[in-house]
This record gives sequence, structure tokens and C-alpha cells, in this order.
Amino acid sequence: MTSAYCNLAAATATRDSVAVHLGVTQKSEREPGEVKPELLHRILLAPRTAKHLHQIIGTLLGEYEAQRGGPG
Amino acid sequence: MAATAVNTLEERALGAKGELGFLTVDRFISSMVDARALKTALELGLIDRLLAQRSGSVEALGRALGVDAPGLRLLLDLLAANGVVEERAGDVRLGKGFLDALLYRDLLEVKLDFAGFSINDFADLFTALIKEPHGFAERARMFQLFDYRRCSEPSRENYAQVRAWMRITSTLTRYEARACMHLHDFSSYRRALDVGGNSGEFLLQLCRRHSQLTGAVLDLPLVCEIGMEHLLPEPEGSRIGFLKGDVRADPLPPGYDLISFKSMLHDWPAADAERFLAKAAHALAPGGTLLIFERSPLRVREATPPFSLVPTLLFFRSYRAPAEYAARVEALGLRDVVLREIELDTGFFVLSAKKG
Repeated sequence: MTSAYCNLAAATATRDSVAVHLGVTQKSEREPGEVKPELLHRILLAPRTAKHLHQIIGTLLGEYEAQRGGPG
Repeated sequence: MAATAVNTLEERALGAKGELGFLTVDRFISSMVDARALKTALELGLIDRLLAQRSGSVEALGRALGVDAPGLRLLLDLLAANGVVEERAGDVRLGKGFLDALLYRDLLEVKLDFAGFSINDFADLFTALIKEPHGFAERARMFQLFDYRRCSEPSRENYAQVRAWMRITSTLTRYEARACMHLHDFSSYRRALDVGGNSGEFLLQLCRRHSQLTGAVLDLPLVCEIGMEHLLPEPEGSRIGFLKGDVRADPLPPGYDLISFKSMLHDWPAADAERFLAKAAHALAPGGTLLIFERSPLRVREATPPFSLVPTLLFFRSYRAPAEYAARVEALGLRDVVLREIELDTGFFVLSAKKG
């Protein structure tokens, strides 16, 4: 079991699977102020599992926003 | 104008096949009726079903899609008239030409959505577009969609709206970049700055083709956030950085041997565009190249534009002749000004110039 912090997320889908990409913004060593996306995890889900995850996160965020307002 | 114009028949002939094969999608969006029927076929899952099963009887399709016989008959007839499907003895399959267009499904769907989005502006406000451009800009849904004031504050509403137009511009750029790379050799550049570079899609296509290249997008903060998400799954994403800024107010960073403006300058009044070019000329590394890739002014005299070009029609006042940009970069002291033109869904041009 590992835990990781991410502040970037993207998802792509094919007929057979949904890929969730998780990463972080990384400061450029070369250019001050420049940030780059760094991919940390690519998680492949069956469409049914992705839909379940979508429902769970939707429910959780609904509760979060009801208590604390939108995350922005 | 001292610019060297390069425009060969070979370049104009590229459209039919090869790397400009994506132009075929416009053939299926030539009229509003064709476009609406195709969008409905996509929404109902008809296209996906025929893709998966290669063909199907009219009766089986009706059952699978939950559409009654008269409705399906009308839809299939409209699709057949547009070459989307072929029907023989009650058996329906996708047309060969349409299967070619489906290779560019992302572009097809974006163009369908974009043209559909522009219907009301064109139908209700065309007189204003011709006679009162400022009134048109205030009322048009199109200009509300591309409202750059939303690109600074990361609210949920702004995020959704900016993401919506970035999907359109990124998809168009994914394919237009091919034409740009055909017209201009990027193999010598090491560091590129794409000003107003949006999701990074233009740099992504350049970096994918040229392994030596790294780059950065300079754009408004929320655009950069969404751009980083856009590039996250891409292997080349780690070679592309984002600089949150505003070219209207900020200087451009030094050290880049290529500074590009891809479909960006037309969004701004001439005085702003001139200031952006001056900043680029100043920031550019000695010997570096400034590159402008833009749509040319529309030519509609020869033929009525297809429905897929209605969004572009709404922006017709924005597109400047390449000679205007050539004169400006020459006035900035840049040399070796080269102009290349190509015919995509409309005319495009690449104008490049070097810093001495």
C-alpha cells in the first residue's frame, strides 16, 4: 500500500478501458516561473470500475461542497 | 513587401491523402442538415454500432437504438444522401469515404459541435455581424464562449467554460500543426516558446516530431492549469513547460530560439498584435526565428462556404493578410522573411523571420 500526493489529473478512454493519469506540477530548473506536468501514476480501469469510481467521487465531492463550498 | 513567397502546387495537392487527410471530415459537414443528421447518428450510437458490427439490418438497428421505423428511415436516408451510410437490400453499413473520415473522429466531432454552437449566432445576428460588429460581439454566444476574462480565476464555472473552448482549439491545432510542419522545417530548433500556446497542443505536435525540441507555453493562468492536465498523459509532456502570464502586461522570457504565435494574433487588435510581435523580437535569441501561423482572410466569392466553416465566418473580421504581418516583422528589424501558404479548410499561412 502506497500513498501519493497529486495535483494534476486527466483521463482517457478506449473501448475496453479508462486510463486515469495522476501527476504533479514540477518547477522547471531552467526557467523561473515555468512549471511542467509530471506523470506519477497511470491507472487502468475497466469501464464498469471507472463508472463506480465516478459515482463515488461525485458523491464525496457533493458532500464536501455541501459542507465547505466548491474546491475552486 | 520583401517577403519571399513560397507556395507550390505540391503543397496545395497534399489535401487529398497523407498527412492532410483529415480535411476529409469537412465533406460530411457541408450543410446544416447533413451535420445534424450525423450528430444524431453519433448521439444514438448508430455509428458505433455499425463500426462494431460492420453492418446491420434496418429492423435490428431500429430495435437496438430504440427508434421507430419512420424515424430511422428518415435518418438513414439523410445519412445515405451524405455518404455516411450505404444501404443494400435492407443491410446498412458505413460508407467507405466516411470510414476514412472516422480516422479523425475527434476532429469530426469537434467541428460538428463547433458549427452547431454557431448556428444561433449566424441565424439571428448575421445582420449585426455585417453592420454592427461591436453589437454582435456583445451579444454572440461565440464571444461569450471565448471570453478570456475567465482565464485568470480558477472557479468551477470558469474551469468548465475555458475547458470547453480549449477542447475545440486543441483539436483543431492537433491537425493544423501538420500543415505547419509541412511548410516549415523545425529540425534545427532547441527551445521554443509558444505565446498564447493554449493547451500546449501545438508544441506537443512539434516535440513529437522533433526529439531535440523542448518548449514552453506562455498563457493565462487557468489555460496553463488545463494545459498541464492535457499534456499529463503524453510522453512529450515532460518536455513542455507552462509560464503563467499575460503577454499584454508581461515581457517575454529570453533564451528561446523559436517564438511562435499559432492562431493567436488574430484574436487581438492590430496595436496589441504589434506589441506582442515587438516583445517577441526583443526576447528572441540572436539568430532565432519568429513564426506566425494563421488563417488567411476568408475568400468566399468563388463558392458558398460549407456549414463547417460557419464558426470561422463569425470571426471573418479577425483574419489579417500575411503582408500586414510581414511588414510589421520587417519594421522590427527581423530578416529573411519567408511566407508559405497552404489550403486547408480555408487558406492558412506560415510566416517566419530571423533575428539578425
